[in-house]
Amino acid sequence: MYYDYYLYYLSYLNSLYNGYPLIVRMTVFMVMGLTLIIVSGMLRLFYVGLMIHLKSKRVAKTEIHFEDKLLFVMKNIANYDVEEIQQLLEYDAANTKRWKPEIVTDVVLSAKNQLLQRGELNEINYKNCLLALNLMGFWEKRIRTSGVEKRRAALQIVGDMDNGVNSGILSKSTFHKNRYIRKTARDLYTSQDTYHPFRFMEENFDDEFTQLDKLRLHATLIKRSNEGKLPNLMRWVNSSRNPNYIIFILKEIGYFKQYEVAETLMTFLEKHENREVRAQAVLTLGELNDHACALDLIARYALESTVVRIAIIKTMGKLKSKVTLSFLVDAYRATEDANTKLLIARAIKNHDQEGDLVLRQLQGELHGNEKEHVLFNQVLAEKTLVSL
Amino acid sequence: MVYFFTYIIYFYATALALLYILLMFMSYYKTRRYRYQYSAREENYLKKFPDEAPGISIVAPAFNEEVIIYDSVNSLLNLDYPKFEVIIVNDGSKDKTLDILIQEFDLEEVPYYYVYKVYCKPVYRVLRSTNPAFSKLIVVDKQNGGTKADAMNAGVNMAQYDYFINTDVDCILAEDTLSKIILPVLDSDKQVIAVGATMRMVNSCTIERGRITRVKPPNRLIPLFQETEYLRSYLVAKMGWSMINAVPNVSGGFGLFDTQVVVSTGGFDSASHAEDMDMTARMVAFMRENKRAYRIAQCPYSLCWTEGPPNIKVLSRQRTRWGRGMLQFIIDHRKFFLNKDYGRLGFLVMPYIVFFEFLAPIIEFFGFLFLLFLLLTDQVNYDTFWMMLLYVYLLGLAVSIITILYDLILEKLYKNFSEYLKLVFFAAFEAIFYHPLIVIFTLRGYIQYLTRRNFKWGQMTRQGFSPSNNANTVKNNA
Repeated sequence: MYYDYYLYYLSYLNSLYNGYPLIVRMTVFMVMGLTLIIVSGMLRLFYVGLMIHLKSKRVAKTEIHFEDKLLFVMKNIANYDVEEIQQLLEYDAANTKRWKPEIVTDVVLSAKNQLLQRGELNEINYKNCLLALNLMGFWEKRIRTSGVEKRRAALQIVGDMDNGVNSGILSKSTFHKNRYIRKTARDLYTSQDTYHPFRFMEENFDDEFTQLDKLRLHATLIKRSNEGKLPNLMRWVNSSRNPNYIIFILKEIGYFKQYEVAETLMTFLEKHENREVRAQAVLTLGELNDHACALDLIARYALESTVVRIAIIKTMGKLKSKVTLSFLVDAYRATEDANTKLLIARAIKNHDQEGDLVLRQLQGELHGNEKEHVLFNQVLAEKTLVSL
Repeated sequence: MVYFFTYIIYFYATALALLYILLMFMSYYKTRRYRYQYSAREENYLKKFPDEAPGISIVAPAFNEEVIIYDSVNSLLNLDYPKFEVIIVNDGSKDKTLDILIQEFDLEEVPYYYVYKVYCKPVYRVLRSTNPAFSKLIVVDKQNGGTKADAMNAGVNMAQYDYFINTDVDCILAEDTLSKIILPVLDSDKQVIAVGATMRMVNSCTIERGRITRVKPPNRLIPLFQETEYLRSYLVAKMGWSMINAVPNVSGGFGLFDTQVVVSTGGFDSASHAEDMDMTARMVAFMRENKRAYRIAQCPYSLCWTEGPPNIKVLSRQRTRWGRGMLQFIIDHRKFFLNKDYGRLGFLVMPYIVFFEFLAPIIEFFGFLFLLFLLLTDQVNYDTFWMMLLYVYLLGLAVSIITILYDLILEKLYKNFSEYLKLVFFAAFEAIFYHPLIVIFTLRGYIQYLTRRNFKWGQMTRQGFSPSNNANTVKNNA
């Protein structure tokens, strides 16, 4: 409505330099542009400051109203139904302000986490609280409709709520072109779905599989294993071609102690060529404490790449037997590389008292090699003074 | 001739304006993405599963730091991260730095098989604590090497983890620094060779037991101007460049580096006056020469607080050294310039450093002399003169205001909104009172380098972080 008014002043400034060279008129244009940036920047600064202030007030007010009541209901041994909770919380989900569900969700999740840590959470009341406040509905709607940022946050919050999820709502997100949405949705699906939860695990999870995904999936697998026995993870290794994913699954096999996989792992080692994958397979054998593999790994040591050799040394340190100790002593004598010597010495030390004895024997064999003396002293002192 | 110079200066300023406007947009896009990519949930995974968290070595050289060493080491040891080690390199201190460390942290000499993976002056001994509370602390006592680079190399040789933080003992790190800085590494499909983060001034902040309990903008003028300057550099320039994987420099005050890549490039260059810029460029060159994909990431969050120069004398030393370092860097690495083998380093980073960082003070200085000449010879058209002057002034102010806005949107660190307005208010005077000093000191650095004067590293005299020590200022920091 003030368009003409602004245009007048803009034209006025331009008209002042009518007839001047193009460069001067360009400068006038740039000055006007920069002035606009400064004015809008200042206005935005005040607006953001105001919004932050408003939000902190709203958070404080919401916490005062809900926190104690929610803690009371969610830890109470007696079960409350949805209407009772609605009455107690004095909350009408249908006629609430737009900003409120987000803040209420934070309060609910904070109360849930507090009680969960103390082992006092009444799951039924917690789920009824979510129903009474209609929080699942709010966040599921956001998963369906909002932009990238809000959508990803919504997926994460639904995951944190741990109240199941409608896989129909997730389906669009699990194949979204934005990798952050796609991977969060797939992780959520794996963690919450009841019909076919490991669907994406069987399909390589995602082509862009990173270290952070490993952490997320590790958390999800722990949750799943707490709910029931995990399937044999080796079958996901066989169906994948992504080395990062295979390494992750092999590591998880060791973490979840799937002893039945050990034999298959030895066959896998013979077939697979990627050295990082082979190294992880060797480490997993160590985690599974598979003594049967020791002789086979020792036979391979001389021909393997450095990464795999290091893995073999570490595995020998875990298996701790006479065979492994004798191998490590031979390997120590044969190696010239300082780092490998240190690794072997540490693996020998892992063999408890016998290891210490062997280390001292090896040290005794040294003739004037001052540096190597220091190496033995260092390894022998580790864990007695401080753990490295 | 007059027209030629006028046009050169005008087009240079316009190119700079357009570049900064472009960087502002790129930075905005990248910062927004960063905020939704990495939330507190991702950081919590690291704390929840400590065995899965990648280890990080923190390397901090110390030379005559008796006043701050106790608070500084305590601050580093109290970082909230499951797997890290703190390596303090005592670079031949002549004061009580080492004695304080030994006494306060119950240190004892331990046998250590020290391998010189990268060159540094001889290491005398390695000390560790007998107290389990300080089990993360390692102190390397070495012969003074005269430069931070040499001391850093001694620390890099000790680092047992895949990534290390390069910092100074006068820096205070935010408690969640490590979990924030490692996330871009974990989330990348390419090898991340370095990560930078925003640094700001600690000068007027309240610090208790090595932790910042209240963030405030500096009270003194020079650190206050430098606060906005740092925010511009990190939040707009580096964040913008990170969008296209062309971060020119990961700061020597605070940065995360890939240990193996640093070792492969031969470590920090003791002869360099800008060892951080030099290291970043050499790491990129190494990756390019070995045809390995890489990324240098930038974290927008403020993770490190450092002492800013409290007066003109200290500012002069700092900027003169930076000036020397920049010229040395350009000369040493001239082969990268417009060299297709080095990709973005050759075609973006080096031209940017040469044209917009190195040449800027020269053009500004000669532009000023030229203006004086025009004024004296009465060749100035006052109708357009004010418009041109306003143009240059508004450019700086606009970038500063947008930067302060980004900082507020990202995370409200100052308690009061009025403290942000204080930054804005003083940003309006930066071009008049602060910037001319920077130009003069940088030019002095160029001249010093070209005349090959004997450069000495400044002796530091600090007053410490503790409230009892009056102020958190550096008296003589070079």
